[in-house]
Amino acid sequence: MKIPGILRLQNLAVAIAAFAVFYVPAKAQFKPITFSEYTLPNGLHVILHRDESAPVVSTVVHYRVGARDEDPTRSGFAHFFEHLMFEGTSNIERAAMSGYVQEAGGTLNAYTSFDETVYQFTLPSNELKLALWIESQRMRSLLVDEIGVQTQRGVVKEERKNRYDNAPYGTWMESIFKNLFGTGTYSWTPIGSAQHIDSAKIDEFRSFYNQFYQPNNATLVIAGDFNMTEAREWVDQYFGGFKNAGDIKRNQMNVTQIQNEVRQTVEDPKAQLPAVFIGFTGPKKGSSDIYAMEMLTDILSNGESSRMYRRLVDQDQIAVAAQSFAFDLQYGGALIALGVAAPGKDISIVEKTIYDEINRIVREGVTDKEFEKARNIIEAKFVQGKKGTLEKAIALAQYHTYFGSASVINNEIDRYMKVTKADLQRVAQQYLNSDKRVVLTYLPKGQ
Amino acid sequence: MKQFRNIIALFVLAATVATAQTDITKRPETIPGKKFAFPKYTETKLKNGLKVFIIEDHEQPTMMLRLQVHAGETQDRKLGTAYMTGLLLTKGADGRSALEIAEAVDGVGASISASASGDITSVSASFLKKHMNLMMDIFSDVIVRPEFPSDEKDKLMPQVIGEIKSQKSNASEVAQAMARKVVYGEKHPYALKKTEESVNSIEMSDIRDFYRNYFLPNNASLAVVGDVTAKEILPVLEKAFANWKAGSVPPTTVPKPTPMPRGVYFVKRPGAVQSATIVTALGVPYGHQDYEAMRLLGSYYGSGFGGRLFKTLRETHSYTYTPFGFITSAKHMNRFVAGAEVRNAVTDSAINVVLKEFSAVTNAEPPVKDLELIKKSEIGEYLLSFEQPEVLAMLLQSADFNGIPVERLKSYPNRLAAMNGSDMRRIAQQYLKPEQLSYIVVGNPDVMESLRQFGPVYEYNLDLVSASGAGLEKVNMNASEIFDRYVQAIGGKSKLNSVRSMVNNAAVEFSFGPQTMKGTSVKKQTSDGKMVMRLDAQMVKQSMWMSGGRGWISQQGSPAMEQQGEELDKLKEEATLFAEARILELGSTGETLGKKNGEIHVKVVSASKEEKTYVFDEGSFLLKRIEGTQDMGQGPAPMTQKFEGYITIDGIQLPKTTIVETPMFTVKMDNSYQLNATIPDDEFNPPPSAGK
Repeated sequence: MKIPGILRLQNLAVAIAAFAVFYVPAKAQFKPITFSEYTLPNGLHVILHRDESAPVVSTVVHYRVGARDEDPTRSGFAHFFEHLMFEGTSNIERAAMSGYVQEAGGTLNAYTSFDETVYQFTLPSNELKLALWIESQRMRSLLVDEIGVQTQRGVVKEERKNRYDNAPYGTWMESIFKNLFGTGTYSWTPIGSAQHIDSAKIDEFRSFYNQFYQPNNATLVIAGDFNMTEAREWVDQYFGGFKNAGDIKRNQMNVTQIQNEVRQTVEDPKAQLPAVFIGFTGPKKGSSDIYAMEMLTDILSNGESSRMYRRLVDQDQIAVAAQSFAFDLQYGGALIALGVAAPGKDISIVEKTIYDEINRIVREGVTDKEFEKARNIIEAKFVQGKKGTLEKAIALAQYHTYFGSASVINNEIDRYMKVTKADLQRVAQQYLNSDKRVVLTYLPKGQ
Repeated sequence: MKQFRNIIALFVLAATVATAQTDITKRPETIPGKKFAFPKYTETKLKNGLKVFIIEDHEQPTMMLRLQVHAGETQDRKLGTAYMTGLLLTKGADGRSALEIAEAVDGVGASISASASGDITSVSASFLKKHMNLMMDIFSDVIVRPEFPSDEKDKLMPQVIGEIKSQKSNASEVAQAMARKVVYGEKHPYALKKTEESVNSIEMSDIRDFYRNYFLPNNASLAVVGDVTAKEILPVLEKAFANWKAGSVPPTTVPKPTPMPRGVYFVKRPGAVQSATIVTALGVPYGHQDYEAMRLLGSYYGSGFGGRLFKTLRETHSYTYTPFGFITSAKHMNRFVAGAEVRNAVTDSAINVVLKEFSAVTNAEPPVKDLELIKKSEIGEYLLSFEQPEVLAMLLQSADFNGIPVERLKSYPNRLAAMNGSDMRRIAQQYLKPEQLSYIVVGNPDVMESLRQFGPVYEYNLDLVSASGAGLEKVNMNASEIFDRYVQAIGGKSKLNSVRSMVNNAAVEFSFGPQTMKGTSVKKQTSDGKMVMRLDAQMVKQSMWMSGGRGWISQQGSPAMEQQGEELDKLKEEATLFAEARILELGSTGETLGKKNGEIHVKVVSASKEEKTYVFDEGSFLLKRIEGTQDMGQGPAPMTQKFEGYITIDGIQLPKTTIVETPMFTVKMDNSYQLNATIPDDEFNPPPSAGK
């Protein structure tokens, strides 16, 4: 007897949670983050934040390079470098980097997104110099050779299989961004294309490295228990010798807007239940509307008391999951709403009911109680997100990069608190009351 | 004065410049670290006896509460009780409904949750300090005044059962569960895990009993982490938990392990492309003097990039992506495990690599450089973890539960640093001798033969029930004799042979996790092998036809597709009247495995090598169930067909209820039958316009 099984909701929950932590939250009552900052003559921006609560130090090097900076026929380059950067340098043997860090009792990681590639270390505080040494080595002395490229081609393909091709609904992000952003910036995602990476020549990798891995395209943050004078001295030693590379040549940012509804149906053998992903154009990072939009998504789908959960999952019992989240990027944004049908339920009803809930807000706005809840959720996220040396280091680099000032880490909450109930209704009307959207319907294969 | 200060500054500058002759191409020298100071905390007791750890963390005005109750799955009288109790705590308390609790908690951007593990059950909450009064109220309500509404338990049941089922489709989890049985013995509390049957048998009174027996302030500890002082929070805690009274806790006795015979425990997972492979041995209790050395040896083999198995299994041989090695961390007893998920063809080679690594340490101390790297990494991670005060809270609560003095937590890095190669060698010699090891492999049946080099092989199915007769008593009947008794039991051969046709109508109920959908099915068959079967359960629609040796299937209303090869053979079997009774006549071979708990097990292997176990009632010889596996798109998963409530139709015994169970779903069919009805021939052919 052939019967569809049940969806692997866990994967989906993880994917959604990953976006949920993206938000940077709201209102008062918290301890401001103190820091000092300066720029080296070669353009490297340095932010130092002391936190002596534990003998720990985290470093972050934030490079302003992401999928948006790639040649469209060479997608996946930025992410590929995230892997290459662990290979070796002219003074660090291949694959030895992790051993140095582990022996020092530390941990290391990195990630790539549309706008940024970020490298992270957390170490016992007396090993700060080790982190600076490795970061300086790979900022300008990375080995970009055939062996490393060949090794990482294989690894990245496995990563792609694991995270996208072999996961239920794994293609949603690629499809939504492709259709929402046409042929311009953000129309392809960081994982990119294996073919592009395969066909690229070694010189192309080298020239990408030289184009973007430059001191004047990076922000270095040190957060934790360290001595300011020493740290400045070491930063100077390790990074001061690099030259300013001058203007970083970039793609013309070209964020197009979707003009008509695009509907696609995908047969997915990994999916166990039908699902619908709806993508609207959303506000960009730092714009005044993004704050209202984020609060709106909390009202729509944060917690079991949220509108989408109560209507689709609890009351109508047509979905096993219903979510919404805002994707705020430096030059554009998206609002994603999704629903996974309950077994035996029609996915088109799920889609209609999501619109129904959105339209209720478009027509009637939100209640006072919901508005208060959204402010409280934003505030809790804002305050709870200011703990831990690594988390703070990443946030400082991002505020510097996207807001032109790291001090926004302490006052972004004010922007949320300025949002009114009427703003929530207005952003719903402006961004979500439209059929200019991408609708992806996933059907388990054979239905 | 001012001048003097400037001079000092000059010296400082000169000193830094002097030390600045660093060669930036070389790894910087490690400078002396800060002396590690164990973080400060307050330990006290409330009037009712509840032990409290307060860890002040003034980084932000946030708070975290964590109650740890010293009872978990080990104390389950019905397996799953602790788990269900934890889930139900937040589903109604002191007059607030589940929804009201969710609204209150969401409303202030907070969170609250509960969970149960082997030794303990915990309840945690996190929130901004300014919501402390509300959250303390809810937190103490769910702990002191839970209501356990039975409708909430009903709502949870499908999720709980879904979770139990889904574990069977995860090969590594199955391997660890098998390892627990092998090391501790099948009846040991550390080896027992909740089953569908056990959770179905849990009544609200069992949950209330568990709560009453173990949720006592003198059987728990509470950690408060956050932006408060002890002085500030203690009166709040006294008030919140004032009505929580101490009581007597039923004693817990955890028996000594009774390991199963040493050998290879092979769990068959047909179609698997990787083997989940574990080499395991009995360890020591958490508080034992050798525990920490065993933990270091586990890291020596299995810790991240520096572990031996990463270097060998992964980097030298590329057998795997994810090797592991560790000792578990339960109070009363633990297991040492090492292994990996490896591709089929190298399953035995991978075990040999692990054995070689074990004997290397047994024969000679590990290289100093390798061990030092692991020690430094372990010490570093331990110290780094104190950056998060929540981790300190868990360490303190765990030490309290395990009876470990806090002094030992403080001096742990020193003890790690003092361990050396001879300690590792002694541990390996004492606990990891070849005769102390057992092997667990969850994998493709093709792999099994290659494992005999490691000892006797015991076959198990994915439910961890013996499939090779181990644990079964001998039965003095061969398979065809048993099937003859079964044929007799349902009416006798001549009676079955006299049936010309059968119509089987059924009300069908599908359960997928928390959801169910209803539908109907009808199956019509004739003695000359014609069949039509139609299933319609809302989203799931399927039709099958068999006529003149040809067969068709239509899924979800699509046009009927003619079937060939194996699929056609399966249809033919499906079309055979009383196919279960005639399975040996249809080309399958049978082998009696033995009996257990009043049931006789017979292994049946089809011509296409598909293996199933038929289970008969020892007294009546009626077929109770068929156990097999089915590919669900994510690899093979167990599938059991159960036959219940036999009824007599024209002298023939037929099951009133048929249940198909898989990790993903359950199908229950409530059957009615009609024998020897006349069925028009054209029903057995698909309609020309079937489908769209």
